[in-house]
Amino acid sequence: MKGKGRVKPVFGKTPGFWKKHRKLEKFVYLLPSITIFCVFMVWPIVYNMYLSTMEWNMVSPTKKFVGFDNYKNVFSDPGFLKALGNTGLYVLLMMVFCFVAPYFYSYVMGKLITRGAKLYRALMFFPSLLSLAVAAIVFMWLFNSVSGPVAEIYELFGHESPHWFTTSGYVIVALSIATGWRSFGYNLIVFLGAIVEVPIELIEAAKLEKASNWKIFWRIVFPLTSPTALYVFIITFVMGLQYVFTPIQMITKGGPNMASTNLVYLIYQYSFQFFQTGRAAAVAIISLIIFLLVLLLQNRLNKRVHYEN
Amino acid sequence: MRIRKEKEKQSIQIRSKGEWKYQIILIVSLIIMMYPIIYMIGTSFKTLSDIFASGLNVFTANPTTANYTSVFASNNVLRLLRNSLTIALIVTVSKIITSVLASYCLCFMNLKHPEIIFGLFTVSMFIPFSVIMIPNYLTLSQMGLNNTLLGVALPQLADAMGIYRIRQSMRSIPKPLIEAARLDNVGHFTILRRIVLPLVKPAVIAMIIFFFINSWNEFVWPMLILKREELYTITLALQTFMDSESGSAWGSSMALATIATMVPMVLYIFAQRKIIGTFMQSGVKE
Repeated sequence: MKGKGRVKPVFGKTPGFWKKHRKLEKFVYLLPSITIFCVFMVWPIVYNMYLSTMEWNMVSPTKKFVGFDNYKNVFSDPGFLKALGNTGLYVLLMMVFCFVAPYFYSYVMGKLITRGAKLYRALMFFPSLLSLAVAAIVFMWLFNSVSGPVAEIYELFGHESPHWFTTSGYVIVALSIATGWRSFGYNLIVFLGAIVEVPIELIEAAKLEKASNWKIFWRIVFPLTSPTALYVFIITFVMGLQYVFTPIQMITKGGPNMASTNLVYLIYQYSFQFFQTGRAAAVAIISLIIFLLVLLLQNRLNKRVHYEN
Repeated sequence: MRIRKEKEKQSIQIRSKGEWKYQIILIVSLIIMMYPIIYMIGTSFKTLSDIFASGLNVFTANPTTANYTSVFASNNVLRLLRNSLTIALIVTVSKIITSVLASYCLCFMNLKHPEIIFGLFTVSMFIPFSVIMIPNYLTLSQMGLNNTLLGVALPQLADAMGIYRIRQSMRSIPKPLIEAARLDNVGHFTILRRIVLPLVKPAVIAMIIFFFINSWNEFVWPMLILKREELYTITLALQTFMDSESGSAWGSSMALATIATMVPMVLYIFAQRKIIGTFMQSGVKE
């Protein structure tokens, strides 16, 4: 494989050409990715900032510069405040379903049981293979208030099922359950990856000392897996921000009376339904800022965790 | 050897104390987790009256394929599958090529500051879609790619996650091996093909499956770009059932959802270990 004689005839002059153009070769390898990132990732952010200072309906050839008016309008829009509050609720619920729960389960599956871990792992990842659209449609029927399985369970206990998708409050819970169910498995696997690295001897030693599982988690497992925990925390935050969009669009379209609208859905509505592109861009930038603040917070926590250990 | 076995036995003894509680929790959770999927498949084989009558029971005494027949009659399912497949193939092939090339360059081509470029790629993994949605839509409209399958694929021809994972795998290859080949005057592309790719094959295969499933499942971006029904992907077609809250579409919507899920499921069954293995290894170790 290494001999000159074998490689050169097959690949002709190419190595010689690239030898003369070393820089160019690196460039060629990176170029495809960099182009896509610049055009569809970096440029959009810049352009979004620009759009957020314009009044524009997406079709007219001219845009009007309005400065920070879009931001001012957005903050005085009760709909925006409503969506902001809803987003907070979605994020909170997603944290329960896709951060706390998988953390707990990965600990149980990775360290507290001796049999069946692989089977549980394989099966619990299963829902993460489904499209969010599929999850939405399945849960729409599961939560159907007339004869869905959830309504049947309510009936077993002699209660009437709430109208999940048309009652304010319930709707956020139902949509979060659908999204959380679909995303739980992925986070579980990421957590498991970190948990299996925790030396089992440590845990056994603690058990011989009669430490409770709860204590072992907080004293041993948590400190050793906190970098992964912070990573999962961030992706769960993104999920709470974006993943719920699909079930919202599929099932409720933001209703009833904006009770299920989140920031991303508001952006979609502003831009593609009300054609207030400037406003939509302003909300997008605000959501980016919120996200960056969380990243910053994560960074500081991360440092603190490292110092502590 | 014997000592090790003894030790293992002891270790299991220590841990299995009180294990049954957790086994019960896990089994119950597993049933709850799997119920919606079994419900989806089960319901797709029921008649409407059966659905209303069966309560929590997901199985039926008289399975029917009527829902599938009606879905195939009212939707051009083969066209939906073809559209999904076209986009998923373009995206997957392109993502894997761009990721492998970029990862190789970051690992073995002596860039001056590979961490900076890598850092930028990683950051882009976290950019919320909502921020790039409107500008990308405008860019594609300007390119005249609105309402085309290519328009759906174009912004996703490269992937930060892919670069992240494949680079991670390539970093375990000893650098001297590559340097030796370089000294023997072997070109980078040959090294990549003959030495590096065979060594990172598991990661590459796992990423191929991951990209494919993700693209197959995608909803939001295709929804923005594809407005004409003959371009719908199978995931997108699901939304046509949502307008009828009446329940008449219950069975057939589950049938289409089942069809849409078949492809990722089959891929997972074949490559379950690889997929889970890659994700477990990946974490955030640096």
